[in-house]
Amino acid sequence: MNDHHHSDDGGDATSSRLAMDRLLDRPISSEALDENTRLVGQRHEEVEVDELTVLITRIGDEWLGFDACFADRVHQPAIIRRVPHRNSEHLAGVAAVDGEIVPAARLDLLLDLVRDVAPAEPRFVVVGPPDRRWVIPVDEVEGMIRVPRASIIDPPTTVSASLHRHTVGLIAQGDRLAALLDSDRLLDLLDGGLR
Amino acid sequence: MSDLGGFSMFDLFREEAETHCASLETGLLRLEANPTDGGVAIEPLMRAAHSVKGAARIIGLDIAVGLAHAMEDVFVAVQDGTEVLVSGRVDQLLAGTDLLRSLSKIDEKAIEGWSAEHGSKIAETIAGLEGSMTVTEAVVTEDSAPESAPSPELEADATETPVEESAAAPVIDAAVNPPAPSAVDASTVSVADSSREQDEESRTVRVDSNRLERMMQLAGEVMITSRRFQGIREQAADFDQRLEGMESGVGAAMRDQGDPLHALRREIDDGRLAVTGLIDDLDGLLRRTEEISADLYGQVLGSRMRPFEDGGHGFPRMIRDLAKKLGKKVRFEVQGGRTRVDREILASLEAPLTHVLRNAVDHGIELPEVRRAAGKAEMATLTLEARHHAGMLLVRVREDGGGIDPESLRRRIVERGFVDETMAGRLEGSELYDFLFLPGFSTAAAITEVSGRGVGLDVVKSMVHEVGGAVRVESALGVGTTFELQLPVTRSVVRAALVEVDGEPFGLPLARLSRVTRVPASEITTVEGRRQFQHEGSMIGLIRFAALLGLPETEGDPDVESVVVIGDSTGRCGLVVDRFLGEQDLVVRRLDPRFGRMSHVGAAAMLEDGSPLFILDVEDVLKSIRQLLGDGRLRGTGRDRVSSEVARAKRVLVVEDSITVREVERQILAQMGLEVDTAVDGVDGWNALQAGQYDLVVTDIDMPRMNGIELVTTLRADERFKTIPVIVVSYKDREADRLAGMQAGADAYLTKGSFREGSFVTTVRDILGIEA
Repeated sequence: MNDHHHSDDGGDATSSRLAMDRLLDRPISSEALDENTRLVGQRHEEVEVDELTVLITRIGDEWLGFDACFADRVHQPAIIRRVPHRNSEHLAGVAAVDGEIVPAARLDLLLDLVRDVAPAEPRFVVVGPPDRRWVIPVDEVEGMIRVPRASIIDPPTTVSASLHRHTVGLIAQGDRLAALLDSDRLLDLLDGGLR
Repeated sequence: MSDLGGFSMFDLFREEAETHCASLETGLLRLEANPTDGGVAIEPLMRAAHSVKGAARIIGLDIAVGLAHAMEDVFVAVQDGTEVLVSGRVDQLLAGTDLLRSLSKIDEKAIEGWSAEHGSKIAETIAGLEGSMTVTEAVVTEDSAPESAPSPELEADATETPVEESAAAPVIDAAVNPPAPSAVDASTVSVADSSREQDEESRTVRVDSNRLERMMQLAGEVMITSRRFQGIREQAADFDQRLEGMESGVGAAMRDQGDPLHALRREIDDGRLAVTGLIDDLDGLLRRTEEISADLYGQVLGSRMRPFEDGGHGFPRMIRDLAKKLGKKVRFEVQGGRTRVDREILASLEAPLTHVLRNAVDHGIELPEVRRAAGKAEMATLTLEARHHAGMLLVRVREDGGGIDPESLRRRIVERGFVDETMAGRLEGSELYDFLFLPGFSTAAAITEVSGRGVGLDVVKSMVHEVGGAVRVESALGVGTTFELQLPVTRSVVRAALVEVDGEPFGLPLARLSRVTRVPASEITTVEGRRQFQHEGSMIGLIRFAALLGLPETEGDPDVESVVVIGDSTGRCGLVVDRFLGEQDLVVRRLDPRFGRMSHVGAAAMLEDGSPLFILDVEDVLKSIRQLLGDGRLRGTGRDRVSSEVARAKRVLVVEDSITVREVERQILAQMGLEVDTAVDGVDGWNALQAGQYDLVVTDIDMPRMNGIELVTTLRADERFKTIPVIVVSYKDREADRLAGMQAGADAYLTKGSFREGSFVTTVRDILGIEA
């Protein structure tokens, strides 16, 4: 340490430079690396915990929120073809989105919702990772919102049992509540009905 | 090592080494066959060795530099005429190539381990390469007495012999003969020069197949999207027409009102001009986009096709080594190497072809002495031929060997208990040869190490079946044997008839249909309530396709039924569909694996409007029709429900591909008072299970399309079949096989001997809880 102070008096510029190089190039202990990794990782986590981006959609009377990490994109509705020998009531059929053939879900049946007879602006919400893609036809897509995680309300016990099963929380938007859907659970349930 | 956009230098080295090793191998084999070509043919070999050396130097892989350098030196000597390539030398060079190739297969991190492991072998190879060159030089330059030439006795002591001692060079291989142009070897393989590939071979790059698939999807999407321009164009034209209407209205008003409207009219005129211009522009753009997207699509689709020869780079080498080992002389020829084949088909061909080729050299082709005695040329000819025929890819493996002796084959069939003697006597031609493809059937007296390996022709057959092909054998005693594999040219595009069933479109591959026809209601008669119509002199039963596919049925019998006739002369039936939608080339998409096995559905595709549809598996449809008709679940009446179930005796499904075993099992079970259905393989069994309720499944392990283990695993993964009892009956009696069966979820594992011991009956009784 003393070396560095000595170098301040400018007596030997080369040696001070070398010392600096030594300091900067010194091997980093694995503990220090781990600690740094932990710190970087933690800060990142805090951001995630803080806010959640949610895609707000509507089926019938219910407003439903999809985690934006789960809902990949919104698509114009397309033709849905039924699948022979598959009669899971949650499977509407298959549809083509952006050149991919993807199963389409009946979320209205899954969640006991009554869909609009002729929705004004129907949309397909494309959800899931690439190898577990689904399209979910909805009656309307409102858009993305950011909500502080802390503001997400636990679903009240009065919410119907079947809805409760797929809802991780409620998002208050003015005088309206949107149900935030449990992505993993939904995906498992939908995939399970494909075979 | 530095990174270049995600590729490490080592990755680049690997790619390069792999390419050059392939050309080294091909070149060496060709040169060995035609040693006189030396001057010309050696050039590319030198280049290849030199390039590998350079690439290895860049990444600092000294061990590979040394090896490539030693190889290059040999090529230089050959080119200079100071050495003539002999078979033993080719062996050394091939060994060097193998080492370099194996280096191109490992991970960067594994280099050290690899070097440690192969270090001595490399040193040995280098010493060999350097060593015998000195021999040659000694002979050529000094031209000393023949007695001082290296003698084979010295072969073994490589380690103790200093490299410098030229004459006794550390030659590992006994086959290093004095350099005579026509080296007399235990075996000779010549590779017929049927390809001029290297020069015309266009440059290729590797593309991840998933990426290619995605590109294909996108190219299709571009094509479909470009068609939407048409809609916009029509809207614009509409708008133009409305403007025109307004214009004439204004014209009329103008006659009454006069001046102030003139300006307005001019404006409308200008507007119309602009719109017309836009439409023209759009038209041009539309045409161009359509052309480009169609071309893009064609190109991407075409990129799946590879020349046939790309799939068999290893064959000449394999045959050479094998022939040498067996002391046979084989001339290997590839015909039709440029035939374009889908890369997927090509990849699936390698294993079965390897087996058939090994089989040909091992069992088909005779030893030179035998051939000579039979008055044939010592050098046998083995031909691998590929060509397109009637929309199929034909691959033939033909040799002029001893042929299959029908008598000994018949004897063997009887010995193995497949049929009795009288029956065997009546078997002829393909019927007889079909037995070769039965599991566990081998014609060789003893399973040889060469083509034995527990892989039989049955596996070849099932692999070929998997891609929708067929295998045939032709043989003449003393003249030779031909294996013919018939395969689809591509699995990517299929010409299909589009039909509508209950409002949904489906594709039926045209190649599998025997007829598409419209039958007036007046021509449809009923027998026992089953509807049928006369076609080409035979009666064809009608089945409502919707019932078979498990879709709700449309009401009413129209005046004319649209009928698709499927099947062959042994069993035809007519599928009634709602209507025909036409014919189209469909680009085949894999089914989403999450769907698991789907009865009757082979693949998916997209229509021109971008909507999806399913392509049906006609073979599968035909099979389940036979099955469903057989047990009365499908009656072929106007209104069928496949699901009709009646209270009944316990039902067993036997899944077994060998007709003999299947029959034995069926009889035993029927005698026990059980209702028995049979299925010929796993897929067939799975389909049968979808349609009917069973109390027990008895399955074999080795079956085409879906084997027993897969079947049991699939059953256990499915809610509906989790608890259905399964008995596995297999020839495989090792403990490991038994364990595999039980782990998959079988309730019992029996060997085929259990029929005699009676344990089969006992096990079935126990599981179903029936009194003896």
